[in-house]
Amino acid sequence: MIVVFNSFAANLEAEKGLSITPSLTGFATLDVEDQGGLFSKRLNPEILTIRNSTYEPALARLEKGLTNGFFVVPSDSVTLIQNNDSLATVLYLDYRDPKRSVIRQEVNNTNQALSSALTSSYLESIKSQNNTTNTGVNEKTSGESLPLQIVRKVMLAVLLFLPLFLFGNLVIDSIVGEKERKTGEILMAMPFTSADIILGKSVAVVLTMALQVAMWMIILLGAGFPLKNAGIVYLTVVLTALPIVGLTTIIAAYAKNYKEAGIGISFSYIFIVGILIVPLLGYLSRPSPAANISPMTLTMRLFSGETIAPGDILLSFAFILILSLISYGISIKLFSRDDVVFGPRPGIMRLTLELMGLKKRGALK
Amino acid sequence: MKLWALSKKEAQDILGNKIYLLVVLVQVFIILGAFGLAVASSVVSDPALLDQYGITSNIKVGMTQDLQGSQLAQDLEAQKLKLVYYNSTQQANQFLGGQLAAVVTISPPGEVQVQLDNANVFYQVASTKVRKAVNNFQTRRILHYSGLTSEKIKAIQEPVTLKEVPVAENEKVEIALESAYFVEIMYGFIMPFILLLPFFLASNIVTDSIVGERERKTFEILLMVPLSSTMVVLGKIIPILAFSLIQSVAWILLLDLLQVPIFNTLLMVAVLFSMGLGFIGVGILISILVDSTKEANSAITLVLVFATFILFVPLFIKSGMFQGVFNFIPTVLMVKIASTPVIGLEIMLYLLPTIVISILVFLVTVRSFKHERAIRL
Amino acid sequence: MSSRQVMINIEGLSKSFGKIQALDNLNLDIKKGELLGIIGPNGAGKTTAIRIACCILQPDQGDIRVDGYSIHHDPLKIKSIIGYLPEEPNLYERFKARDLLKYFAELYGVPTADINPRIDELLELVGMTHRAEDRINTFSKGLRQRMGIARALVHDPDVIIFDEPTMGLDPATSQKIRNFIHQLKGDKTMILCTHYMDEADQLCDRVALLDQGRIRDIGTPDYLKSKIHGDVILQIQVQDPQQSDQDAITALPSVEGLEVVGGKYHISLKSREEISPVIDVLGRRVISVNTKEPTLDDVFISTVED
Repeated sequence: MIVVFNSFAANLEAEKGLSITPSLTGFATLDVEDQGGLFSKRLNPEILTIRNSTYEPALARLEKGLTNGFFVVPSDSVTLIQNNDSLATVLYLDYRDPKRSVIRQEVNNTNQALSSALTSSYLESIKSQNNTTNTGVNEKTSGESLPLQIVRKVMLAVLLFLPLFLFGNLVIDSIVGEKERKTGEILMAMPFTSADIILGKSVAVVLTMALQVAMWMIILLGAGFPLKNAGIVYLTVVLTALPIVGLTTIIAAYAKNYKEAGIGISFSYIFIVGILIVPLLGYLSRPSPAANISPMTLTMRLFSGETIAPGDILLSFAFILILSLISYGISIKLFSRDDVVFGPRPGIMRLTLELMGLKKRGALK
Repeated sequence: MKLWALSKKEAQDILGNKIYLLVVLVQVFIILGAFGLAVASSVVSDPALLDQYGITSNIKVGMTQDLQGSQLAQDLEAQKLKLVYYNSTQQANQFLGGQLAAVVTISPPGEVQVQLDNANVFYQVASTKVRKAVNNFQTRRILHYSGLTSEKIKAIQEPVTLKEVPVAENEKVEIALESAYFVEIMYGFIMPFILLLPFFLASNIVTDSIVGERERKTFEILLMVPLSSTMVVLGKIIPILAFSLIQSVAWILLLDLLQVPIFNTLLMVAVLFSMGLGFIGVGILISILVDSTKEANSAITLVLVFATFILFVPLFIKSGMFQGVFNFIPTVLMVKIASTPVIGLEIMLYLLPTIVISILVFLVTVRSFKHERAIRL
Repeated sequence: MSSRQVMINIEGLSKSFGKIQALDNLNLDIKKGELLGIIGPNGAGKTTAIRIACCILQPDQGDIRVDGYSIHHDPLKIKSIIGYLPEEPNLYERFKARDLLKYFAELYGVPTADINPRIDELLELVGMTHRAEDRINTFSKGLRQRMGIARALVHDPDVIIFDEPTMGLDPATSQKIRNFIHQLKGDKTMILCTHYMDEADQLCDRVALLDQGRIRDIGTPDYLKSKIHGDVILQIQVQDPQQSDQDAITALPSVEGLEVVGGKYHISLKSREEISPVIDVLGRRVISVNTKEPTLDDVFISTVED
């Protein structure tokens, strides 16, 4: 997987333009009449299926929907070019087919490529005659291209955080599993507080994740990924595991069975990934200190070797801490309620109001 | 009658599953979101569309004060770029990567210097437009000295012209965006993705069907009913297959509403039907083979990841070597069928493997249902 | 009874799960209208035998014929003849009682016109008419068991099989269930698997003792009871028990056996007339005297212990 990813990134760089467009190879057909062969050679066969044709049969095919367009280049195209004359091409386009814009764009691109090639060759010839002006263009680009940054840094950041999302099942299994197998009752009867149970189970899962992240980072480093500040990157990722596990325990404490928990987890993980990634993407397009609220942003900046103000690190860590406190607080409270653990389970709205102290437990609606 | 009773009960179970109904609703948002994303990304990467929506004026190009009103500035403005002037190149460069997408200056010997910010969202468009403007500027400057006739100059500036002749314009199919990228991403990925979504969901739901009954200890009575395995499996498949197909058809209508017309609807439904049969069959097969719902969930996740790979990677890959095989991939066929008003009959030949595999999956499912392993009680 | 037609014929039935031999060459005939009890320890193969008869499991060897149909050839036919109440008859929770029965009636192919009268009749039989419109998930274990029985009978089967029908129920409910079974006796062929010997004793025409996949003994409850002991067991507590007492008692012709259990003599006698000679031997030292008839429990324990 890592190897594939590496070569993909390398290819992208080599190809210059990043193509994330699906290939419609062979989906659109273009009939071409081009005796000079200048144009038909340059149309991309990976985008269009090219078929050499002449006016009458091509139009008939077009009418029947057998081809999507017909491109006519004057038969004397080569002579026209040699005389520096303008070349008028015609594109018949089937407006019944949604792929017409694909054909239009490809023909346009081909025309433009030829156009600019011709223009510049004319200019060359004129220049050699006159030899007067300096016409150089110096084009520089700065900054890594956005798609490449997304692919490189964001993918690496996502890879680093991936283990945190793989072990949600462990939490679910250890809490919901007890409910389903009815062993929770035994556990509740033992002299532990619900905080002991929740925290104990969470610590075990966080440690598993920490181990996994460590192995993961070693593999990534071994595969040649540039990971700077590995120590603090590791710390950030592992700390992020705390609120994620915390949130998972809330779901596990509330869920009645695996199925419910599974769906709850899917939804909340999409949400968490959103919280992590959106500030990161925001930071890529416009760096702002607020983006550091996501530990993923911090991690990316750390492994790219940026210098980071202590305030930024503090913001990230404070966010993690607050979320952890809230999530564990809620799940411990939930787990200590017999109605949540053994049922009949109160509704989410009612439970929220009760947890916020707005409603007394057991009070009638 | 017996089959009908079983199907009816399974259908009620599915409709009673609030989470399923929720996910069905969520799909609408996924579709609208994907559509919006496709529109946004098409507009961002297409200069003509950006001009059309007046977004080009948000692309800012920095220049030095002395170039204000110059020919170069006019050429840039002709591309609808917004020019911002600074006292010096250094000052302008400070804003590059921030609010500026590019900085264009002329060096003392007369060389045009262009600096582009690669990380800018509008990089592609900015790059095309700036390059065009600079080219026009350069060409004009050279031709200025050449002494050619204006007709020749025009021919040199635009040596190839293109005239578009619409065919069957009165039967024109309206597309939400007249953009190649939009058509490619919409038909080439989002459409098959959206239409298969209900079946991904269905195969997930259906993994519960056998193993769930076994866990709830209701399986033994179902086995006692005088129904053959084929009937029981059919009774489990028909309702969810019907619901999924209904959703798929609804999404086809929704896409039509969004002006992404789906052609050959009947053939599409037939393809979706046989893919659905395969997906749901695999879901039930898993349900028969595993020991617990938990295991079933893990197994179906793996299968779906694999299916996603098989079904969606070929849409993005241009490979001469595999193209022959890709032609048989049902998603590739879906793209062809949905985007082409007149479809050749040879498509039926390409559909054959999909249909055969679906039927095989169904038969294997019935067969393993009969097998004792499925009946561990 | 032997003149009656054989309804279920089990022949040379063997079945193993991996290394465990659940059934070992089982042979058994059940006659039409008979109520056969099957008793045996946990893991004796009762449920396996029943599941094979219901065509849920396939045997390794042997055949079962139900009303002439073989499980190998006509499983669907057999399934529609048999009504089966499994050990854990979990029902679809979200159904209302009436809808549940209707659903199964449809699955069993009961003619549409007959469904509603049939359901009313069954609800009446199990005393659930007043709960017909309530959901299964509101029912207690006893009510669920009644629904389970009604469900098993929904297609008016000729053969009914009950697997532990009163397990885990309170005595009153158990008795009710037994009453239902008793009511069905006569026109239906029934098999009753149970752990409760008094249940088998009370209901069954014949009882088969199953152990380790084989039939250890089969016969009427009275026959089985008579096989292990005499008719009466005398329990006598005495002051200062002596070896000479025991010798004297065993010397009596009607005494079949003597055991000392917790300082008490347990003496098996052929008949009640033999009680007074025993008491005479012990004289005034007798503190208490109890008599006890042998039960199927004793049969069960002594057979399984062998």
